[in-house]
Amino acid sequence: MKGSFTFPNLLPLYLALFAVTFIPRFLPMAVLTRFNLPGWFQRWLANIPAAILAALTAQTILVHGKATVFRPDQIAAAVVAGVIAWRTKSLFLTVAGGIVAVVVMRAVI
Amino acid sequence: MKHTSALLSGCIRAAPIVLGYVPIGLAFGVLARSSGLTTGAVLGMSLMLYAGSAQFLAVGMIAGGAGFLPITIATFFINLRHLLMSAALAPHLRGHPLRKLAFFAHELTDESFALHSTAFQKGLCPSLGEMVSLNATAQIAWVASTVAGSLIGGAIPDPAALGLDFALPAMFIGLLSGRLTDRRQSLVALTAVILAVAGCWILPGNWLVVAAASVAAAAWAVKA
Repeated sequence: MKGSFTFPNLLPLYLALFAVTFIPRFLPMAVLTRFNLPGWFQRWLANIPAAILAALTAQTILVHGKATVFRPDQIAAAVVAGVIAWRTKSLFLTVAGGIVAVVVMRAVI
Repeated sequence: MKHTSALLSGCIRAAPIVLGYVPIGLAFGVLARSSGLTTGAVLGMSLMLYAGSAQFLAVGMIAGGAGFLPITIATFFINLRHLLMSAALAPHLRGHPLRKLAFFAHELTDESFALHSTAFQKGLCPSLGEMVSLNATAQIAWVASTVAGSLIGGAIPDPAALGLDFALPAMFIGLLSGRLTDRRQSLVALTAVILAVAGCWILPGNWLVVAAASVAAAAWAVKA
């Protein structure tokens, strides 16, 4: 996406995103009758959120353009955030701890 | 009278969701602003999408320069889980007109689903009005806190100096950790990380995320 991210600029994208957000929420409910997805599809669906979040995390931290990139500050902060997330289960503490860790790492490195 | 008390009861039952949404909403607003979205763009997104992880995903991809189609497909994928939630609630929602169900469905989130399905599990039968009131209270809290976060974000001159550029990856790590409920999910995540890193020189931009996630999810979709 290019240009500045104002509401009018983003509206076409928002309409598409609205559609792909609303349809999975509404369609099964609208059908209302018994809605049986095949077992393999249900298992695939159940794996999707973890898969997409993991791929996105890896890409954000480890990939730049079409190559891998080594950013020690971000990798160390990611480990700290991961440990906090695992121990506390708190989204807020994870983000706060990750931000503090990245600032500290940048001061140290 | 009965109607008013149902609406009020929906508002009150939304309290735990509101408490959870406010800090995340504030964080989203600050992040979206530091990623270049105006306050109007944040407001529009919270009204139209109203989906926590999908909104973080979309902002991350918009800021990363991804195109229209990859953003739309990735958002669709991350929202697919709502299919199952919507299907699970369907048997309890028989007999309501579609336009009312559409309104209810738009505000179906992981958190509101958790409350509704627990209520049904306990054998309670809240009216549709009460459930919509619960949902609407939660969305108002989300919209207000994301807009507030965006206004706060606008007052911060250099977000990277405060480490705020790392808020989005940290948020993804937090959301991911909540999904790693068993060994299989951890293996899915590990596979997705490996594929995303290994495939980055083949696939441009954010097609990488969609492809790595679909393959990793499929690799572990075999029967237990």
